Amino acid sequence: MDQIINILSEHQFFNGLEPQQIEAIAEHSTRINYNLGDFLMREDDPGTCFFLILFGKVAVEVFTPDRDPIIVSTLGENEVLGYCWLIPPYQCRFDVRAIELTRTICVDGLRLREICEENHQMGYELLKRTSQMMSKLIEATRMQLLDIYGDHS
Amino acid sequence: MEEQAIQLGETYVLDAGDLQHLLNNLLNMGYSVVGPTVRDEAIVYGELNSISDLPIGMTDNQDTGTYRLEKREDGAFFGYAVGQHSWKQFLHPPTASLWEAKRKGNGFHLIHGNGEVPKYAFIGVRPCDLHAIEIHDKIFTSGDYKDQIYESIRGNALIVVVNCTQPGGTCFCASMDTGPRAKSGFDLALTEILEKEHHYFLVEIGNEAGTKVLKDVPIRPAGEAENQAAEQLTEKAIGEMGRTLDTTNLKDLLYNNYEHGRWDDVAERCLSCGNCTMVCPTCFCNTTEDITDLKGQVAERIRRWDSCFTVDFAFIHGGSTRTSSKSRYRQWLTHKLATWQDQFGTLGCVGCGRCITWCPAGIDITEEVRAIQWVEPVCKTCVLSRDKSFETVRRMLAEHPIIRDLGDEYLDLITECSSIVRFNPGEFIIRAGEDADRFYLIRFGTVAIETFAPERGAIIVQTIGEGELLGWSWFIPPYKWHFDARAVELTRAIAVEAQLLREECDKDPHLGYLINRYISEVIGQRMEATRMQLLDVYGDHT
Repeated sequence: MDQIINILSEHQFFNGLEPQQIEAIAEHSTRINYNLGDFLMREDDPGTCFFLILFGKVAVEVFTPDRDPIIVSTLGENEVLGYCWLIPPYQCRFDVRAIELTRTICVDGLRLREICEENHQMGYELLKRTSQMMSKLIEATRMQLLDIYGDHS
Repeated sequence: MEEQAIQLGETYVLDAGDLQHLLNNLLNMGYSVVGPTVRDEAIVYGELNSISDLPIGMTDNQDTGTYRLEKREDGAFFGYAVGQHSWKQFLHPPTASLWEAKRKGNGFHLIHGNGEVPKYAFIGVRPCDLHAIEIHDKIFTSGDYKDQIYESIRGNALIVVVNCTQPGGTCFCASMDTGPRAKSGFDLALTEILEKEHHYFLVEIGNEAGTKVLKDVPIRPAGEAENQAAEQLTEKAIGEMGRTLDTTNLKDLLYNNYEHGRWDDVAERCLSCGNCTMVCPTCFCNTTEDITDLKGQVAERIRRWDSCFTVDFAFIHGGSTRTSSKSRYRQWLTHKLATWQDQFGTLGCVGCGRCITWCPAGIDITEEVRAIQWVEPVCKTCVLSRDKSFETVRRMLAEHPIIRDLGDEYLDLITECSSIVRFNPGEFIIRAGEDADRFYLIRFGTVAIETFAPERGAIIVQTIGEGELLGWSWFIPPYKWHFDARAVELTRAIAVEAQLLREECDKDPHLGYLINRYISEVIGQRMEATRMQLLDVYGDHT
């Protein structure tokens, strides 16, 4: 537990939060490790997890029925992942797969959302950071789209 | 309903099906009834004998230089804005005989005027047009320009206003304070109300003549709910005006900007065709012409409409005083909005929008005025707050989900930072790499989010439309646009200057949280759309 608190309080995503707030989040966090090829999330799963990647590398993918998945983005150490806990219908919209041994802290998104709703000051800070992450991801997805057009032009 | 029970100042309910009774009364009273009807793919004014002559279930879609007749989903009788006709063609006819002389022996015999004076009942006069009639009344029935022809036709005419519940894309009567609901000056005023089960008119009676017309027409006193329904429709109409015009200090502004560079700009586009003056309900310029027959038996002097856009109009001995399009357009606009005030004590514009719709070059009087009103801003935050009608924008913003829940204080703040903007097809709204200092709420039209690739040109990533938010980079460091955004078709939006709002979010995390939550949702939706598109594209090539 203390170790999780330490990691969270040192992580830039939670930078500036009060110790009690960190503790509240830590209470709902667990460490999970993934082996190469393991899925952190599957499309259409109920989106309850928010990940801090401590070590390793994951690929954010779009599943296609009859060819290899399209990799939209890869994320690594110190990056964060997962926004589905924030937005209805609270479902994962991508597949996320470990492409090497990956260690993470998984925060319960349901709880994180509640904390944000209860405390708008903190909610504002966390949402600001989350939307930044989302903005990067959508940009990456759009770029992927352009690449595809490019392939066939 | 007993006739004596009808009281001025009270409101009554007339079922839509019973409008024919009113029409019959008018016909029986010897009126030639004129009202809206569909002809040549437009809603024009023509003779009415039955309510089936009305443009039932039709509407008009209007914008700069465009007019389209379209079907409505309901059966509204008056569900349109205004067409190219105005009532001046009846009250101030396009041609009128002033006198005719016929040879008689060694002398001649004089005949004055056109003979019998028509007795018109106008149905469906919009409040903006009612104001235009009032302007003509003032000019032609008193003072230096008293006109016998106008006076006699007007004296016989009966006016049934139908308040406007369907403003067009070029309307701005709310800015001119001439509508959308008439307050006085009518014989009868109707407000058409279409509810699920009930289609009726709220009737207001302006005078005794109005009372007489209602004889034996089945009406009943209106209740609270019916009066309220009419008021709500008026409120709604105010919010739906396609244009705004800030009339503050307009006269001085135009007098002081006689040499403004914008006149050259508009002259480049103006064809000098005079359409604006023909469709304008207040333009009344005319000229006289003398005609003689070849035998020398008959001579006639006729009066016909003229336009200040012709070269001849300003011809005095030695030549024309307005030889350029620039001088003619400047004369017209300055007359409507400035010199008219000195001459007749009112503005010469009622905000009906006809000159915008019917201009083949797409010249928009409100835009021209705005261009002259524009002053190089000192403070960037105020750039957008200059050219807007505060209340209109405030009302539109209040309904948008990003702002709805924020409360009045922030609504005012955001309104201060907002303005109505429009983009022509192909025009860039956002350029990638530039500072993201604003966002747009799309009111009308379609915007493509695109990126430019060398050799391939612009590639569309996504399109967004009505009601949607355009731009969130103002909220996310480093506050730079990542993509281009370009209007696919004519697009109207509210532009909101974001810097103040961003600062305010930092000061008040509650505000920040609500806005951020909304933006996250929008990004989520766009992400989903992008993902689907990605799948689609892949699908195509497998």
